[in-house]
Amino acid sequence: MRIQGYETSIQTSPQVGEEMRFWRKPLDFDKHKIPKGKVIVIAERCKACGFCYEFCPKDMLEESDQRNKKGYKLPKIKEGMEDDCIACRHCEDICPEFGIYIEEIEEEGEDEEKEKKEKEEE
Amino acid sequence: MNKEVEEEKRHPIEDYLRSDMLPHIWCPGCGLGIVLKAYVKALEKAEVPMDNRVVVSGIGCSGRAAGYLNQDSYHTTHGRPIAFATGMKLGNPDLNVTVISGDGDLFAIGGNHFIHAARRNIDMNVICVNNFNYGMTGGQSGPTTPTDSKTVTTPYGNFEHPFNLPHLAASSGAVYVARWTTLDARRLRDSITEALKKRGFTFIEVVSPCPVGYGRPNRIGEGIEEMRLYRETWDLREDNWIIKEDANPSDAEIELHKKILVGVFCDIERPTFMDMYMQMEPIKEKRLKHMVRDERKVRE
Ligand SMILES: Cc1ncc(C[n+]2csc(CCOP(=O)(O)OP(=O)(O)O)c2C)c(N)n1
Ligand code: SF4
Ligand code: SF4
Ligand code: SF4
Ligand SMILES: [Mg+2]
Repeated sequence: MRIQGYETSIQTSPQVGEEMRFWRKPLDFDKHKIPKGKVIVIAERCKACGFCYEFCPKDMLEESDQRNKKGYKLPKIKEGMEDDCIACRHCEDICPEFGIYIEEIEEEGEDEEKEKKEKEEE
Repeated sequence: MNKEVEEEKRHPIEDYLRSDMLPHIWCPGCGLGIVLKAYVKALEKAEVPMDNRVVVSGIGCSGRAAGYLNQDSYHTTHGRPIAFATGMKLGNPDLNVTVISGDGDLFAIGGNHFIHAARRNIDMNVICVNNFNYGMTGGQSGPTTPTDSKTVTTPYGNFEHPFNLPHLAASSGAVYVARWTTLDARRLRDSITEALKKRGFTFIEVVSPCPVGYGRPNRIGEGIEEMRLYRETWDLREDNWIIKEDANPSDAEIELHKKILVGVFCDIERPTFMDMYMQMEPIKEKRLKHMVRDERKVRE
């Protein structure tokens, strides 16, 4: 509903031209970087249910041969996909064992880049 | 893996869990842990202060939920968590009271408490973990077991009609009614957040895998296969999540091996039990007297 109202106000406002509407979106879009995540498994909690590797949207996890003390096979990151995690936290949310979680990685130089861009805009 | 590394690892919701009790007793592939995590994340999102958080469970695997939370929690008798919660809420209306329990606990032995708390619109949140059977006692059929499903007490298939829980809740008077599966962890969390913020009786059904009591006897398989089944319903769910008003609870019947309708079915306003009570003339007068007396005391 709120979004609808916003659109109407732009359309009816004489100051805002057609181009502006199309021009603003991509600029905003650039600013939103896709976040990156580090996958952490608390080995002794895992019960090898397989939810995390079955439902990761990036399909970057799989069952490994490494077992925890109780004999459950732990999940691992697929080879070559170490940097693929988008920190969506779906694995964290659907692990019934509180056994996997994500640490979001701050990318180096991200802030500087942002600042630069903002200056250019001005 | 060496111990130091293990100790460094802290799950984002570790502070809210009784970590010494983990790993929990639930079976591999059971969905209960997902519901617990969604509840804790929702408490955070709704910014409910620690001192006001109360969770009440009954008996059953789902009833164990209260025991794993590092907050005020009550593990009550079978079927009675809503009765306990009602007393607690009336005794201290500031509390944010949530009941997390099973389908058997809430709708078989506890069925009457449920419908009457909804009818009175007592300000509490009820989350039912529906695994379609009595998991803890070995997988007997219960009031939500879909027709034709096999359980240990229905070896030829269940010949009874099950409850349609959202329909039951909405028609009994709940002001917020939703259903999710454990695969919808994020939507579940957001929905619980909405419920926590809402005044009145809210009900959320979470369809959850129970490989032992339901998945295996019905040839679905382990928890992961039951979760895959939930994923197949994704094309159905889009319209029912976005257009809240249009999901009709009477269409929410669950049938064996069929798609499960999820979404928010009802989100209305209705005066609560306490609102109605406070509006009674004698109570109003009494309160006024109290207020005058309190004021006098302050002056003296
Ligand atoms: C008064 C009483 N009657 C029966 C029981 C046995 N009993 C324990 S748990 C349970 C059913 C639990 O089913 P549900 O609430 O669906 O929980 P689940 O284990 O499936 O999560 C029953 C009948 C009991 N503990 N107390
Ligand atoms: S956070 Fe998302 S992308 Fe990263 S491993 Fe988990 S499910 Fe996959
Ligand atoms: S979801 Fe959790 S318990 Fe299941 S395999 Fe992954 S880490 Fe292990
Ligand atoms: S019996 Fe079913 S509900 Fe109980 S812990 Fe096992 S999978 Fe979960
Ligand atoms: Mg049950």
